[in-house]
Amino acid sequence: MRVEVRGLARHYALGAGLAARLWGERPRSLRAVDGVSFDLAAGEVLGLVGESGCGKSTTGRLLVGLEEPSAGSIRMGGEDAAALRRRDRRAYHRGVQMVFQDPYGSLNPYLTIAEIVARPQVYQGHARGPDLDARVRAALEQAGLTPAGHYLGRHPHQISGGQRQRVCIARAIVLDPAVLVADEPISMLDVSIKWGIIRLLKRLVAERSISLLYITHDLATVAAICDRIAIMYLGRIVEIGPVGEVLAAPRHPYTAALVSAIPIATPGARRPAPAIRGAIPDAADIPPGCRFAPRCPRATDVCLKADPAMTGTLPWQAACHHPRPGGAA
Amino acid sequence: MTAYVLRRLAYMAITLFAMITLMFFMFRLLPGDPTATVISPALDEGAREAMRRRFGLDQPLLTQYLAYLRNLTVLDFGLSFRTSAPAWEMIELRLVNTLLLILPSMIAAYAIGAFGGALIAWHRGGKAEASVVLFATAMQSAPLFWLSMLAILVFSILLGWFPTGHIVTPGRFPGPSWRMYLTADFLHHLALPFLVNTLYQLCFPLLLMRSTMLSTIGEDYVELARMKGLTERRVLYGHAMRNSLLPLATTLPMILGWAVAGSVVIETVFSWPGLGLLMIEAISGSDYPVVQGAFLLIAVLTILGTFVADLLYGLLDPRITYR
Amino acid sequence: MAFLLSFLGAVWKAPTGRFSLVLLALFLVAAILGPLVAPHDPMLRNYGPDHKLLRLAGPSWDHWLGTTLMGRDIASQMLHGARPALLVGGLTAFGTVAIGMNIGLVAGYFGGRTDDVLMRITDMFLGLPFLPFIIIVLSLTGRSLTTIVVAMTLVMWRSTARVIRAQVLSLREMPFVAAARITGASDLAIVYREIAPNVLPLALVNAAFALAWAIITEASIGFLGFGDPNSITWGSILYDAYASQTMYRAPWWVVPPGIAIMVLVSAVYFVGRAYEEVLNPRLRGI
Repeated sequence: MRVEVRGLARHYALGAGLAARLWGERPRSLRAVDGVSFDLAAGEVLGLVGESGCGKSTTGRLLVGLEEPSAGSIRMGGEDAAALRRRDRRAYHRGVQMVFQDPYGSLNPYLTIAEIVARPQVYQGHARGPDLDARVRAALEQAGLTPAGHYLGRHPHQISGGQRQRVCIARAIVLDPAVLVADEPISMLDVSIKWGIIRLLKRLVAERSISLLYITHDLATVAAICDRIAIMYLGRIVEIGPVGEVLAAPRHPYTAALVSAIPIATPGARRPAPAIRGAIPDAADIPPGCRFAPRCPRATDVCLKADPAMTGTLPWQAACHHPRPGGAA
Repeated sequence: MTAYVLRRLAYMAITLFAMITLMFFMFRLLPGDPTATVISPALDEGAREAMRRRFGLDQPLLTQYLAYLRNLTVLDFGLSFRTSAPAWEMIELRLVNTLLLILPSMIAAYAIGAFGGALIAWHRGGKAEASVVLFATAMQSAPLFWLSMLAILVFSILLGWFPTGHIVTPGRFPGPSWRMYLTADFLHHLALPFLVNTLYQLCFPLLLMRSTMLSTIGEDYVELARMKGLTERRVLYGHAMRNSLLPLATTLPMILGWAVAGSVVIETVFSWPGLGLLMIEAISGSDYPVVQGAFLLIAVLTILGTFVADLLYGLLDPRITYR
Repeated sequence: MAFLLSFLGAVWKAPTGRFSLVLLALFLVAAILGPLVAPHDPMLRNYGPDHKLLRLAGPSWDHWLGTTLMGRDIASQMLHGARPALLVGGLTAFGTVAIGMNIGLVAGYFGGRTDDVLMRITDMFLGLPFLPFIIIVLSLTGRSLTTIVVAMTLVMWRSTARVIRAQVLSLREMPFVAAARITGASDLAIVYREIAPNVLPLALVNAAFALAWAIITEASIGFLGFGDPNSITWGSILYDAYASQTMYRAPWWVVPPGIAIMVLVSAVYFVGRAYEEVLNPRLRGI
């Protein structure tokens, strides 16, 4: 299913105390997501990359309907997501699923694996019975837990972290969703298991033509699974484009900084590291002008004043007043 | 911070108001109409009507309620049905007696409980710890009134060390007098209920201190203190215990409020003329103004205890932020 | 059922837990069979061979625990007392946890206004002085086992509600709750099918402590003379002994009921603590 996101925003009101408000302090808001736009085609994998706190997880949560947007829109197959949810919440959730970061916390410790994978169907109103059991088994085996019978009666604490994440994936695909959000699905797993999960996601996307939003801070895995990549900084996408091109020659200085931080296996090889200064600013206190300007090595006066728009022709765009020339990284 | 205290105060006021209202309607709406016992059905209709008018019971319920609230603001609980004295005067005297019994004994219980709990936690795993825990649990599991009866049986009847009850030897002070509290006779009467209550009440702080200490002893800063070469005693009292005292201290005001409420039992056994005994006597005599007054006073103390506990918890624990 | 078995299994692992479970089972047997196996009618006035009333007779082969001032067999009274103790305690513990758990679940999960209102109500109940409130309710509604259970439940659910709410506050932020929501689960389903099973162990620990406290309180009520006039309870035995003014001549009248309460309540406490230690191994010490 085609997903179109336009100007999506999620702001949180920060409660100012009564005393503070009496002193004339304005209630502030934290702009976790602040105008994000992208498209995601059927069977496509888009990597959403950024440091923690940049709003990438919130974007994912907005997509699956765990949060309501403050502004902007999400369209699923041409229809407005909020309207779809109002009309039939269950049907919406059937189509959009999520794999969470924490395979320990996202499985109910009290339930067995069979119950965990059966629950989505129960909540969708399917009757218990042989059909349901068969779908549970099929989902588990699809997720690489074979033979499924070996896992059905176990509890989450009786299986390994990698197996747990596979159960999460089985739970997400048992409803046969068209859109999947994977929020840092491998960041809490051992390196040895990571690639198995990546290969599994890649296979599922291909077989079922799922649209996958792959959220991560780890650029190394992005190249392996994604078709396109979007770099997020302080609630905005600053660069979006085909994964190979963006990583090879980033236009936005922030992307360049991220790319230079990828470890390289060749001894002695070094990438020229553009210096970025300081820490990510507070999302409740976003600087005027370009939000990356205070940390940017290429910043000039104009960057401090004017907020840059996305420029460049699709599929590759960046929001920068002084984009790096292609291929110069 | 100020906002936090103010909000807690407002909550307390709401709770108190709700309690007062609950009391009023409970006494009037529940089955077992209290006026039935005051106004005898044997009286003829005219006399009963006159009685109703005198107690204001002919008024609509709302009018009665408002009058009740107005009177409470000046601590007027009405006249005792039995003695016709203002109920508040009777209650006031009894409050002092209850506090004189409960306060010192709770403070002693917490002091002994804290040290005892720390000590057995430090000597964890031994026979001594197991037997202290078993003993404290057994004490906690025994009804307080039964422990009091046993104490009277052993120390008053068999050994004859203490009087079996009352606050002073009956007949020594014809009327209530402050001088009563300054006599050795008073202390002699206080000793046994004080000891029993202390022994019973120290179980809770002792067991709580032990379990918080057990989780403190494994903490890094305690290990560090040991590695610094501090003596066991310095580590115990200076580091581990100091940090375990906080959760304990915050429970004291609340438990104090509960102990006042629980004094009903110990006062009954020892014929100690406190609030609790007054309430029991008033209930059996259907003296509702006194029952209400005594109950509300005990409730105020309980609520105050919870309030102070909440406040202490907020003040002492740096991890709590005020919002 | 499976949960109950896992609970028993967990408690059985600790030696004190095992011992306490055996004790509890014995009390349960006494509660069920007590009135059937009691050697005498507990209210019958017994006469000696000389046809004189057996007042305050010491323990003997015929009357294991002696007799009361009215010549009644104390051992039989003790056996009859086990049933009301466990019945009143059990029902109160059940009511306490049922109310406390639901209020805690709803307040903790929905938060906001709902939480505010429910917690203010809980605070109000927390301000009620425990025993005095129960006594006043009983004096107004009349004394029976039912009113005792209701009165005790009214003042006991409050602490369970607070404890459960605190745990729900952290549970509702768990990703598995979000996972249930995005599969279309309703709030009701999330609360009762995803969150509730996870607070069940804590509720069970609370039930144990509520049971212990209810048994002691029921005895205290009986002792103060507010117990059910139609049943013989350990509290009422002690009340009779105290009111007779002669108990100091007959320790066999005073000691057994207290011992029974103490042993029963200790056993309940130890079961509760053994289970608590399984849940939170840190309490065991290092």
